[in-house]
Amino acid sequence: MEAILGLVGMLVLMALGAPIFVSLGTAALVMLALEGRPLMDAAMTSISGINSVTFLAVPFFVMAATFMQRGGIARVIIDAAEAWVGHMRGGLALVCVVATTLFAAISGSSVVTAMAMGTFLIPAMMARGYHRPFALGTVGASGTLGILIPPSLSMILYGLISEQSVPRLFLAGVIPGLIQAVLLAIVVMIISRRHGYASGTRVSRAEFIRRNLRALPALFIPVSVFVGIYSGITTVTESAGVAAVSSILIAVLIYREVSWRDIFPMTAEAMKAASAVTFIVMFALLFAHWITGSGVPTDLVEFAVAWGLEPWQFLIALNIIMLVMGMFLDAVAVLLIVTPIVLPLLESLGIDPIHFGIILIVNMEIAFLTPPIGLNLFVLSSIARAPLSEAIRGVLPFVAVMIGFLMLVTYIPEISLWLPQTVFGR
Amino acid sequence: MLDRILKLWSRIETAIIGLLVICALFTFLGGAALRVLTPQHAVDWAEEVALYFIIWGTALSGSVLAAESHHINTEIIVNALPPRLRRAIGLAVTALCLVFCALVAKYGWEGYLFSAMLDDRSASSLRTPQSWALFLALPVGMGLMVIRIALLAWQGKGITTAAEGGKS
Repeated sequence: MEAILGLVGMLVLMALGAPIFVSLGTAALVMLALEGRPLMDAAMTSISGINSVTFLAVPFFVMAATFMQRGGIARVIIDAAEAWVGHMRGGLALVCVVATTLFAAISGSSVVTAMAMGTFLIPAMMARGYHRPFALGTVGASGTLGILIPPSLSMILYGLISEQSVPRLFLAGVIPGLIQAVLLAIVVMIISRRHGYASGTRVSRAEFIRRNLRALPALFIPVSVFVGIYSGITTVTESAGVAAVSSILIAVLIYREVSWRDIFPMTAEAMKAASAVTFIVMFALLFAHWITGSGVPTDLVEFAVAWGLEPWQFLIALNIIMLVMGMFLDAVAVLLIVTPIVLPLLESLGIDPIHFGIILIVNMEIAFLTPPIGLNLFVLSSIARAPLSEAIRGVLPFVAVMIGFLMLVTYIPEISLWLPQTVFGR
Repeated sequence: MLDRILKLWSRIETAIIGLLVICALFTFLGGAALRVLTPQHAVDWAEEVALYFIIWGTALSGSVLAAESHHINTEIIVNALPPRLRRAIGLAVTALCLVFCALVAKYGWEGYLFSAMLDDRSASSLRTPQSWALFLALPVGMGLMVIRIALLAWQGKGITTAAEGGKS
């Protein structure tokens, strides 16, 4: 009973606008104090939790993303994608889906992906007569791929809390990511046909080759990350470090959009952005420390057993809860709150934690798009200087498809599990 | 005057944070390169030291994030309230942040003393004392945040923001 009060108290604090780390931490500290557990131990838990090599990948990947976004890498990838699909109907919108899928394989963040793509593509789409809501919707929905297609910061955080293998999680995201990209492309083509959006012109063969060659250094980054991790040469964290250094070098030496003098301030900015998440992670770990000791997960298991809950019923209930939470909370907060509560239940229901990780990530993707708090919506409306309502109207058809996609991922575990099980065995 | 102090403070902190991250990156990749290229000279402490840099960088970032209103929060509900109520809630939230950070600083400091008393060391060949390399970061970071929040409150500013501050 007290535990429910703790949870409600935390949500009330968040609703009142308290920083998420303060809300999580206050609820945990107060409840631990009421239960008579030592608070010094609690403080040590929160800082020890981030003392892990896996965690080191977070600031490195954020650094890489910062340099990719501002270092001209987004631009060359869009140019290459345009050479491939720009001549089809709704060409630029398709370019957006393809370029974003590629960029997602470089960046681990949905917000950065939407920002990087939106900055170039929204003005370009509007100049070619696309309606603004559609342009916003396409960029916003494709941008969410950033956390599903590896590397993914959210998967690293999930792996950290649930003690699951990050390379396995990364592989589990590949096929769902490609399916989502295809679904988005289909929506884009249908809407483009209905509105009669123009096709672009086909580029000449020389131009086609030139643009693809120019994109090669940018595509080297994801290739080096994956070859490194899956050949066993580098760990996930080392790949993140390599990605950070190579994105700096490519941005400065090859595309020359960043000068040597920019490196230091951009690095500090990246670290601050990473720290905003780390603060939440630290106190989410404290929250997890409380909730695990409080017996809430055990109560939930007993509840599930007493009601004879089937895994599919459990998953549908959880999806609804997560979708509602995602409307009001930051996507990362949803991940960090839900994981420790639900994790002990998964085993008793026979749900694979890797599969659950992907379900969680797809829920987070939708959370980026659902009002009132959808980070991608804010990013889009600020890039395009458009009212939030237009961004919301634009993403609606995509959100509907994403919910269908969520069902697909939820009820066909093989979509997520086949690739990691084939590579690593069960 | 206070404004200048706060700005200078942010600049110094940002410079230290940038330096810490770059040190972390070099230490970490340097360690990995040694391991791959010259295994006989490999060191067992590169990851550990890189983590100390990042943890300290994170702890120091807390107060800059507070000053720049970049701690992630949700303001949508509060923004819909009448201005007077919103102001009252803003004050309460600032007070809560102050008390919370002060408490974490206090218990973090106790944790630091406890670890120092046990002379808790890392497992690598460096045998780094965990007290100052790791546990001290929490009370220092939280302590700086307390001072910063108090100074901001003195100026009539809070640390809450629009949700756009979120990076994930």
